[in-house]
Amino acid sequence: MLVIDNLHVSVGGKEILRGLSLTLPAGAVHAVMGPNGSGKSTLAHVLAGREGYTVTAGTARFAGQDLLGLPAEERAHLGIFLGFQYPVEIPGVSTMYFLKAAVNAQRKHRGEPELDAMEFLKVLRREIKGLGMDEAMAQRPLNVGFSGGEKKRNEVLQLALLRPKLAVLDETDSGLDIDALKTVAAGVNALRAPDRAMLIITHYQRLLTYIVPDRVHVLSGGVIVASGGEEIAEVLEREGYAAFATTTLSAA
Amino acid sequence: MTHNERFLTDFAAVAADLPGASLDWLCRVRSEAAGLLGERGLPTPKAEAWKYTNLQPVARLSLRPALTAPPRPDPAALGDLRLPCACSRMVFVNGRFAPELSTIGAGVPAVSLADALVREPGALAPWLTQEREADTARALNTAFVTDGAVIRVPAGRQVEPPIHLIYLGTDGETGAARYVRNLIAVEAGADATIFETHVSGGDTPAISSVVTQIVLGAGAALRRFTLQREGAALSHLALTEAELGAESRFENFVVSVGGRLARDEIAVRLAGRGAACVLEGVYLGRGRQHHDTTTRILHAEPAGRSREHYRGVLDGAARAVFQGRVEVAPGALKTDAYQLNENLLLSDDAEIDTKPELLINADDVKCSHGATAGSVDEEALYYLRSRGIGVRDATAMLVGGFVGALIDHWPHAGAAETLRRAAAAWLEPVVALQEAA
Ligand SMILES: Nc1ncnc2c1ncn2[C@@H]1O[C@H](COP(=O)(O)OP(=O)(O)OP(=O)(O)O)[C@@H](O)[C@H]1O
Ligand SMILES: [Mg+2]
Repeated sequence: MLVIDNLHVSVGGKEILRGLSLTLPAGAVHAVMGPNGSGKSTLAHVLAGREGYTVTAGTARFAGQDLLGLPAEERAHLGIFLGFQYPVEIPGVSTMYFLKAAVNAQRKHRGEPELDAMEFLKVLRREIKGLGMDEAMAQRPLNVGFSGGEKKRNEVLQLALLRPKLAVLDETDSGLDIDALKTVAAGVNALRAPDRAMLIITHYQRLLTYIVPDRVHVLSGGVIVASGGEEIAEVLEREGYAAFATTTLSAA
Repeated sequence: MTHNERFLTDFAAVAADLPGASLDWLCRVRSEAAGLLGERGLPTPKAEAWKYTNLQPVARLSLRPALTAPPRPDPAALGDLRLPCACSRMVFVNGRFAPELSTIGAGVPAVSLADALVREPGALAPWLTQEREADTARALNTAFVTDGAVIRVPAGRQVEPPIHLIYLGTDGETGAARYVRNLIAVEAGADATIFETHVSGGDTPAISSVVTQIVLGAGAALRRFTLQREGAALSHLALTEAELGAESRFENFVVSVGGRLARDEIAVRLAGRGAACVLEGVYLGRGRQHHDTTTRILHAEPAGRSREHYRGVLDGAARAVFQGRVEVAPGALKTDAYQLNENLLLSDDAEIDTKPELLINADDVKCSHGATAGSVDEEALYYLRSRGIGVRDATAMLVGGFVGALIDHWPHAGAAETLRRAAAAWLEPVVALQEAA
């Protein structure tokens, strides 16, 4: 479903991804772990279509289609979703209004009828309840003044509403308390499906006990330095990244 | 004939037909004002207060107001101007009160200026004669004023729901100037909310001049909301002068979307201890529109508090000016003044001149100001786009949010809602333009 091959990406003249390759089949859940600054979020944003990155080599294809030239909204229309590590605060735009606009933009693109206010509210209520969130939150301006955990739950709410084909979750677990972590993991697990792939970026093995990945990749210095089963996360937990640091940041 | 000479002939032609023409004192006031205008002409950019706003195109327009009975617009035309409340409503058509379109609730202390000049001229004399004209743009209004609202809220009274003043310009009298003078007194401990709508159509250049004098007694409160939606060729010159008694509170909120040239000048004097004023507004410009917001706040007594927050959105070759002057008089200790002007520029040709001016002559005061100008937040735009919302809609959401975040907390839900809708209506073509670009 997602095939990244020898991807080189620089930002502001600095090469961040340095020949990254990764294949994520449909239905699979892969985890990406790696030290701070190793390029995890860069990878996530390059997939989601943020501007300002220069791809100097390599490709990223989604369902056979070249992703890298597409604007962010078209990638979303293809079914790509990024759960932001740092969700953006947007004053003056109510969360509800935003969520409805997002859902309807995607429905419209798929040729489905847009949901009216009542229909949307019904769907929204169901998902909000499923994630143990407060309905009042939907009336507040998007992410403004939300606690760290509330912002992350709001990302998962969007995931649940938009039901993408590829979900990239960038540290969705950081900032969540243990109960929230379980709720969020249950929400993510419920979305596991044969036609949906997920790339879960995390620093903590703990999340992976709730969302058990099919494969774990270690990203360091802009390349995948190791891939394997769950045991990799356990090695990391015990020994840290030194165990895999064939490429270090200082070398980058 | 020079413009200045023409001002005098225009005045001479209509003076005898202006309201209050039988009152000697008023005739004197008017002809002095006209004389000043004839001598000096309208302000030029040489005057500091008019440095960024050129009135010379205005000087070419006819100064004569229409004086026959105003054409009657279809009351249905008022439909979308009505507030979502059972307000008292005074409608002025081309600068003259239209009683048949107005409804003033029993006991609501509002009358038209022309009526008041007939019924209680003595009460108006101090309002209309007190001043040395601040400048000739004000003198223009004094010379030609045809009508306005006179509102006097007696001590301790609370006026609720708001009084809605609608100033309608119709195409029937194309090119005629409109002059309105509002006199508003909120006496000690009284409380009132006023909503003003200025709206006109047509694309014939004309002058719309509005001078509003406000006096708040001790502990009084006045909230004033204004929607300025003049036609695209209008020169809208608004001046508000407010005198604030001890512990009184004046809150002024404006959404300004109309006019070829729109000046919103507000001079507030915190004349009593512990007075407070809030000046907030939004100006939205496109094409070759020019928006000028000029505020002057004088902290004359201790413990006053002033808050200013203006947000502008400029597209096309629109230009805006924000001049914010805050003066703290000697002895006005514990003054607390804050000013912020933020601008969103949607095109490379849009321009903002923002000029804060703090004159602090007292110790132990807190004064701060800030100004920003920039384009739409890229990070926010990306966030919305990553959810599948196209650039056009995402930009509209962000601009709407920028404006809405300020309006949303304005202290009257109905007024805020109406003003937010007016701003949203303005935004649609802006975004369409961007898409075409
Ligand atoms: N605009 C930029 N200009 C220069 N360097 C940048 C820019 N954006 C990101 N970087 C650098 O790219 C590197 C990778 O950043 P990235 O956010 O991808 O790391 P990460 O693996 O997600 O880290 P973390 O675990 O802390 O979230 C960092 O060294 C960062 O400073
Ligand atoms: Mg990161």
